[in-house]
Amino acid sequence: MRSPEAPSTEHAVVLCAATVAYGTRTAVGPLTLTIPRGQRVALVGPSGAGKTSLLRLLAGQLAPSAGQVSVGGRDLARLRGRRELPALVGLLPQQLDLVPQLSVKHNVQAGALGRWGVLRSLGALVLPVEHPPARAAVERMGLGDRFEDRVADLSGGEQQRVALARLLVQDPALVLADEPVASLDPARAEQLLDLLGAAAREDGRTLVTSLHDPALALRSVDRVVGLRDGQVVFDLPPHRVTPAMLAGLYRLSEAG
Amino acid sequence: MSTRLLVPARPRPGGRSALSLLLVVAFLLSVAAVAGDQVVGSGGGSAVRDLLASLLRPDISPDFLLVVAEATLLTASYAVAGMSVALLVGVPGALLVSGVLIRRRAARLVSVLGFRGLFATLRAVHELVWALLLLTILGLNPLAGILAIGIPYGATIARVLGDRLLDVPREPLDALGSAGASPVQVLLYGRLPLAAGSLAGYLFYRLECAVRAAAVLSFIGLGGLGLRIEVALADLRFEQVWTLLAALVLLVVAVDRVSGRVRARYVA
Amino acid sequence: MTSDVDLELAQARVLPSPVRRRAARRRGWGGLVLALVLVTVAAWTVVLSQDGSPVPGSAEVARRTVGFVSDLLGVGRDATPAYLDPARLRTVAGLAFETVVMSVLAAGLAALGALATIAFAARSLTIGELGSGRLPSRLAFLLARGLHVVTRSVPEVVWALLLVFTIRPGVVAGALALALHDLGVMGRLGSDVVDDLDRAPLRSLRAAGAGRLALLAYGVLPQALPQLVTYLLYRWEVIVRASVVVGFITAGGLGYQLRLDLSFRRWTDVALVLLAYVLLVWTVDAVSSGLRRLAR
Repeated sequence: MRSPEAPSTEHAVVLCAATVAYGTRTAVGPLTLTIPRGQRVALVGPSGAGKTSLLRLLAGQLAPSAGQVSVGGRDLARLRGRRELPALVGLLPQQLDLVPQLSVKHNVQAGALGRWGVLRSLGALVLPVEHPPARAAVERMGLGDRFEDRVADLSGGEQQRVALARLLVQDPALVLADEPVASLDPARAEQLLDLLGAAAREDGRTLVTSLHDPALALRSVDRVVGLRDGQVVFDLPPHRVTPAMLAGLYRLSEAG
Repeated sequence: MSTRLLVPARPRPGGRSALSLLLVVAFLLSVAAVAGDQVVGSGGGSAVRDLLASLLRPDISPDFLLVVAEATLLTASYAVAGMSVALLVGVPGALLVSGVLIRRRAARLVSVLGFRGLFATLRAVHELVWALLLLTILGLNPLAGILAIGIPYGATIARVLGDRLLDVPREPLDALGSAGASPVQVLLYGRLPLAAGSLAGYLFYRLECAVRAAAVLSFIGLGGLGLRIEVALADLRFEQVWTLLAALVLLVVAVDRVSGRVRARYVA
Repeated sequence: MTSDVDLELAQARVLPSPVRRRAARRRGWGGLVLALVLVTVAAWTVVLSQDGSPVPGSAEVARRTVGFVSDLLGVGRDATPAYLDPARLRTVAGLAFETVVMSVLAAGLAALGALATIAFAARSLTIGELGSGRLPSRLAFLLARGLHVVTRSVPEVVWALLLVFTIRPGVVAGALALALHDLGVMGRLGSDVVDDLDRAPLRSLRAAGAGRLALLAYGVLPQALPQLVTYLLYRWEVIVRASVVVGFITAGGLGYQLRLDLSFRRWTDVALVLLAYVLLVWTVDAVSSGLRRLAR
């Protein structure tokens, strides 16, 4: 495996002294970080460490108060609100982000809305037609037989897989996930992380996910970034992360 | 177990007690205001007797039942036609009054405030007063009746639907936006399905109201159950009045049943 | 829940129970859409087959609208328009007050009638888990529900037509007509409120040996009253709006004046009454929502 510190010609994500501040409080940074294309990165750290702010920064939902963020070689600040953004960056939806009244099919097809015009989206909603990539994504998640069912009738784990299927249909180069398994039991959490990891690896996507539980993080990624108070505490491949480092990450922040 | 412990120990806000007292006083004052009025009309006794006696022998002759069926069909048709106009007014109206499709803040504010005021005015006037006004302009024809229902109901639907479209959970909308959906697409894939459950029931309730409104379009001289009731009362044919009233009740109950079926099957 | 929209929706009994939600299965929408289209087309066909004066063209509509509006405003008339005549203003103010009396009387009577019957119309207290389920209870349930359905289904105007046969025309007749219809609506809303109450305290009261009356006084009423008051205030707004058309038939208030002015073609008087009516509706809406806020 390539060492994360090694320079790469093809960086998917470059953060350059990027800072997120709410008023006078700095939530993230200044942070300088590069992530090569296709790498799977886990952000770990206690709550309040800045994981969510960093992800929102990468998703283009927050503008950096200082510094620069670029994805795929393009400055995110220039892409905000533009329709190219969804093809570049996709945020894995949570259960609450789905529309429970709609079928699995329609929730998954919603991932393609950024590329569709109004008429096509209306037709896909009211006519009995299928969008093949949506069908393929749902099959890949093992939910083929629930394609026409309402999302409200699915279990929590199944809904989380529907959310992942929507992201596959959106087809972004960089996948972001904020605590994707927070509401799942351990077995389902591992299953979902495996699916997420496989989706990134097989399609060559870059993945950045925050995970509260470091044990899960070590299992399915190429690189672990420990965050505390908006700063990087360690940045290592999973096999070099020691229990002591993790313990220190969580304990220190409780003291501070 | 003492019952005292079981009564929910919620503190009773002072405002609520004051309000209850106020309502009771207002009602007593209104009673006092009419206390001197003579209530029972002259010859009231015999009319009441006739009216009640005929309840036991409603007119169910085939000829008359045909008349009742025709009047019922007409009233139901006025209601449905009026509702179709109401939806034509109300659905676009909801988009304007909620401003969900307008990206620019200033334009949205203008739309919301302007249409809120317009619809409030249209709604304030009762559908039969609308019928009277439209009669003067359109003449005595069915279109006046349809519009009399369609305009105020459309204004009400616009506001209820508009508020519902705004009052949906934030998260699915944000997720759609981050997947690249435009406001129209967010409306189709987010707001509408999220609001649909409560709205389907509401629209059927409005249809039920429209049935009652349509039944009294005889107010301006249009046909239907109301006109038949008026004619029967004028002829003192009380046994026909009861049959017609029963038809009206059945029509309203039928709308209620269909509403329940459709909601259980399609929205829930 | 106290916003007007919530109240509108509540009248439609829009909150599906969790059980129903689970039981529902999704079907294709095609059948529903087709049925709606067919019903709508059929309705328009039936309605437009009715006789009536021909629908005027748009130029004619525009001409008549302008004519009507200038009649209302009294354009081109020498006489002072009624809406500028202090004596007429005083008369109409008096009639507006009479309308308010009629509406308050109606709302109060309907509330009393509803209070007396909703306990019998509530499923939970009669045939449900808190009721006896015996024959008298079932009978009371059916009677109360029937009363509510019938009074609700018949519009105020038809009640007015029936009442003027026996009751002297005037404010009381109008109030009774309004109250009868409203009794049905309040009855249905009220029994739904009672059925949706938190059952736990009621069950414990029952278990502690509380009789039927004690259950109502200590369990049901304290829980349900705030919601009922909210509905009552909201229905008052609806009653005021309807009082004008009822007054047309039963006499009393602004409605009868409107009828007289229309039949004598006193257009500026019509304008004055309509103005008073809209102002009254708006005032009552504002007062009612203010009072609802007070109750929260």
